[in-house]
Amino acid sequence: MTAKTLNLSILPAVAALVLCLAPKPAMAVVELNITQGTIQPLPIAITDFTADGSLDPATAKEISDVVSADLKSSGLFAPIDHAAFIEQGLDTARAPRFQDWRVLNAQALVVGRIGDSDGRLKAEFRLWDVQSGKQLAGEQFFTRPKDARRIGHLIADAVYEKITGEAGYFDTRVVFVDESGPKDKRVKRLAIMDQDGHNVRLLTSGQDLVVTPRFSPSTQDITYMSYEGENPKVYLLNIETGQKEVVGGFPGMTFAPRFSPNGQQIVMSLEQGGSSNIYAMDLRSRRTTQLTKVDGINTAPCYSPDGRQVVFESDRDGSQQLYVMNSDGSNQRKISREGGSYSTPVWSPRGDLVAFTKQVGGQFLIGVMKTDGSGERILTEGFHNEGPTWAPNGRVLMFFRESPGAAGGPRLYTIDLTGYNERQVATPAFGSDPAWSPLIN
Amino acid sequence: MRRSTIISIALHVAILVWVVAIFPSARLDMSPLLDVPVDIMTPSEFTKLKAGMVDSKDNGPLEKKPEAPKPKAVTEKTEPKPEEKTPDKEAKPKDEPKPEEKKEVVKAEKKPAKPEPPKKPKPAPEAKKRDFNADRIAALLNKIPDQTQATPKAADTPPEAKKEAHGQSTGTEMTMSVNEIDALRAKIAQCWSPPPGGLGAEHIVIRLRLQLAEDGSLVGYPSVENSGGSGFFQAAADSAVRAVYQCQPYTLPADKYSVWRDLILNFDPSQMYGNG
Repeated sequence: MTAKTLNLSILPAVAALVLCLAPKPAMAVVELNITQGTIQPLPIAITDFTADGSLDPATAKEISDVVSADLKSSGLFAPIDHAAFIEQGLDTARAPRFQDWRVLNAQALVVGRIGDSDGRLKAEFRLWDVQSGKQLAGEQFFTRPKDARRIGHLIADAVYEKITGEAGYFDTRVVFVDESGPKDKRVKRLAIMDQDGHNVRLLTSGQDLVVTPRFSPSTQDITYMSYEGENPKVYLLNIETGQKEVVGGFPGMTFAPRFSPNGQQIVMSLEQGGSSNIYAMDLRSRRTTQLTKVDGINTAPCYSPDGRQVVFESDRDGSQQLYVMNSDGSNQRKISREGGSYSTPVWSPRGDLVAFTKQVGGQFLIGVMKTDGSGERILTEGFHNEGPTWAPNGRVLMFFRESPGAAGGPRLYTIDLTGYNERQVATPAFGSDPAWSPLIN
Repeated sequence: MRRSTIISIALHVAILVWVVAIFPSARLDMSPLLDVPVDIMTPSEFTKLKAGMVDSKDNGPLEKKPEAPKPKAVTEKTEPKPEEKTPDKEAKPKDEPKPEEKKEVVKAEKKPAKPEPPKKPKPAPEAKKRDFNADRIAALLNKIPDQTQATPKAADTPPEAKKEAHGQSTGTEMTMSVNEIDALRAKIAQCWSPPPGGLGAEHIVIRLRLQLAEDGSLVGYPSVENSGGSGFFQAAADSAVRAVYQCQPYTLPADKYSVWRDLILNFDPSQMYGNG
């Protein structure tokens, strides 16, 4: 009896002990965490698009060439040389022989064809995942025959978005200042082009000096500063109609204009009595509001994408630094914190970063920082880099770089946020002051 | 009776004291040991292991070097049937796209070529976009301080975020050794090229389940076990699927086939963007 009681009373403790010591039940299957990979451009095969019936195969090839060039320029894709292709003549009507593409190590495959649809150009494409044999995307586009290149940009955007998960930026345009003639007698004209440097169109005659063009969110209007008349002024120009007007009836010189994200305001600097301060003007009511009231130079204002804040440069504390304020001018605070002087701040369309030009030790650098000034990173440096502008997806910046010497001049460049993928944008002459459009439409 | 009760209480107390005194220290000793490789290796095993690591590229003449996917893929995979058919099916509706229905604007218009591809959920990606935290990729991207960080090394950082299971629950003791696990992990890391620093990348983990045949090739399609609303999630999931396809066949110990025939892989790019 005693022994039995003893045994029984020990039992729970023993059971508890056994439970503690027992191995944990294992999972159903082997489970692994993969936390490392490689960052390298995705090998992609882009076949020459085919043309139906009477259509010119050259047009089809031009479209696929645009897709290829766009994707390559992003630095995220590595188009595979056509000479290596095994399967030929592919179009959207039949499935590819995936093993022919796997041996090329292609990860993705783009095929397409163009056709005629009541006088309009119809283009369709398919994006295949070569490894799994699945279709990732397939779309059709219709346009005027002369807009063939634009179809290529749209397809490149669709492929980019599907593979990276981010919006593309290829179907966009850039306004810039086209510069020609010798250095001491430069002719500066406003020009607009596709983001890849094609379809350049001049917007002004070159009689008057123009600088700092900026797109409105609608992409139909641009604002810029021109040295017409006695005082340089900020102008508004409709690209389609060519209609032009002075912004605001200010007495002094106005400069550094930029649209608000909704396109209803223009924010700019007004120079008066040796100081420059920042003003916002409502385009409908034409009412102006003074945002800064500080001695010194306060300029280069740029709205945040939500329109609630403005980043600008000011030398109120001695050297040129970056500041942020609410869009009504309240709560002005300095954000730049490293050495050197900062200028031309531009808020990223994503809202997370501010790009800037920084001058330190005789070098002009292009960099980005978080909107509170932390996390500063320099993307590129050189003799003279200036004026960054964001691609609409906030991953790529365009800027201009001046080369030294009598024959030197400014050229346009792009660089992505990694700082590794830098490319020159081909323009007919020298180019400066680029401004990237939002996505068209 | 009382005596036995006293003995019982005393024993209980003793056991409790033993448990309280011994267990915590035992646990403290044990937990860090979890992922330390303790296998005794022959030199040849060690060389094989190194061949699977990203940071050992220069010393690998071994035949098991993971990057040789070119010729083998031809023999193994027959074309997946369901996809073969889709384009033909779609070709018909697509040939009469009724362009008149769409707005006659001068600009190019977009229209899905086939009905199935799910419309990209626009609002969700928009919301996610604001989450993009470029600081997490800062270390990876910063050009000035360190030029060498473009390609993070695999197998440097053993993952700690989630619990891994290296064995199965069938009651056998069989598990994969740490070496085998590390080699597999390093091999997949070489094949995996996640979308670079996407939107909200630091919050995304792709849980992929796959079945393997005895020759180490994939059986069927890997399935993504979790979901996420953003376009970036889908792009990251596609990249993970591409990686496991590209990496096959996997060289794993044949005698442990029952352990590795069913695998779950958690693809977590956050460390790549965060720690570079």
